[in-house]
Amino acid sequence: MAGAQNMRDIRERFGMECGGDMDKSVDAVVADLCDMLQQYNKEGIELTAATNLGSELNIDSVEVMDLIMEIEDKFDIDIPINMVSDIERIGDLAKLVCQRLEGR
Amino acid sequence: MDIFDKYALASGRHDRVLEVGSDPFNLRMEEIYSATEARVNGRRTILVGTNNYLGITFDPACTEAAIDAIRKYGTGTTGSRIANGTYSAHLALEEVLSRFLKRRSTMVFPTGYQANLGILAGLAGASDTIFLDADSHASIYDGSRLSGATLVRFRHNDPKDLDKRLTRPGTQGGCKLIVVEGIYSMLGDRAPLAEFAEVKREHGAYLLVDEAHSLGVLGDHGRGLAEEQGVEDDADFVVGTFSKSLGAVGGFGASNHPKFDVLRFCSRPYMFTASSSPSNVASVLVAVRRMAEQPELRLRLWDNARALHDGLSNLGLEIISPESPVIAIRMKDEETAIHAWNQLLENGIYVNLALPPGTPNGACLLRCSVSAAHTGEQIEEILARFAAMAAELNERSEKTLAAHATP
Repeated sequence: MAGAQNMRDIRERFGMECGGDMDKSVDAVVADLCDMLQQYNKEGIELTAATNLGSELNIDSVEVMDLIMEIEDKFDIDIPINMVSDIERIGDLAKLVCQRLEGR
Repeated sequence: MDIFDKYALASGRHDRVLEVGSDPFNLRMEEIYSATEARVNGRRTILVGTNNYLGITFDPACTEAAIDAIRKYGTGTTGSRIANGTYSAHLALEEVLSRFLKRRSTMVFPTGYQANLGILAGLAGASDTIFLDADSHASIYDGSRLSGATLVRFRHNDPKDLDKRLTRPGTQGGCKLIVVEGIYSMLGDRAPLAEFAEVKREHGAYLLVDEAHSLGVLGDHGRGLAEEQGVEDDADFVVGTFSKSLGAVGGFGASNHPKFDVLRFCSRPYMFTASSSPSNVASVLVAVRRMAEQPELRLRLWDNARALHDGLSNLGLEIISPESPVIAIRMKDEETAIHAWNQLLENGIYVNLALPPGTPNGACLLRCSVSAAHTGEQIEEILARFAAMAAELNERSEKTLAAHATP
């Protein structure tokens, strides 16, 4: 099944790291998230862990929730939307993704 | 730092809307002539955005009942349902609704918004998970948040996507509550409820259907989408409003669950707000009867909906709603939408202007809602004025193109 294969890929890529070397895995997730966020990057700014989703990328509340759905599907995790309210920067989002991958 | 600094972006956007003309979000209805006409900016205006589906806001029996109730019971209850605010009329309305909806019990609320708050926050708790359709109304989001439950959003009208999310290990434990709407307010589309019911059964989840826009509109008796699709037994909870087909203000939650009434002393949005005014309850009591006894209202609504939908489609406008009493016309961008909305208003047509994030997929919409009370002449008039607006938009975009072509 494509989903299971995808999950194995993700585990191989992040599974070990999320348990052990947290920083490295967060960096890898940041890179993935930056790719996904290019569609919202109308001004073409440089995206890093420090980029603010609201004030720098102008992503509104619904777009954030749509983005969360895409992230859920990419990593095959669930990210309840009530966990998203404190998220301001790409780095915060990457940490949350790692937490959810770890808890899976 | 000012406490309103956080709204700087929203204020700036609103200022730009005001530069174009009237304020679409604070429009003054100066006088209401009927269910379909009002005076706006001093002009007689046809209302095509009021959700007054059955057009009974001026029904003589409804208005008389309300006037009579004010004389008998006063202007307000000055109390909540759990104190002095439960009058015989509130209980009578709950009984009438239960009979109409074929449900064991119904709770009424002062507004539709509060009905979702009270039912969702009452049903779900911190250990439960609510699965809500991505295009859900704000009251569903807010009620879900208030419940403290884990909130998982699934792709709009996508039972497979819901199934996938119900299967993910992160959402195991506690009860699962799925929330969908009968007709979605912005695009007028319906939930594939029979398929959702199947997913619900497979996962042992509960299903709540918000029939706010489908009550009185769908189903052979007007009970909504669950009736139309024959899955009322799967809809464990039904929420609805009095402010659309029933022409008043208020909302309800109804269920066959034997323990449903525990919410009367456990749901804070139900308990800690004043109950509906006697006049409001009295008019809804009559309106439910109208809805049940006059199916011709629903038939006329659909005739009008089809006529307007077809007519607007023929004008070359981009209609993104299916045939429905809600008609969504997509404009190419926010600026065009605001301009077109003002054009219509200046020509005596009121529709809703709907902009992101209040709309799905970032769409900028002119949103129409049709009423059974619209006359054939009014539908013709609405179409003629939309045609003028569409012609003006074409002219405008040609001018813009020409300006860009010759620098």
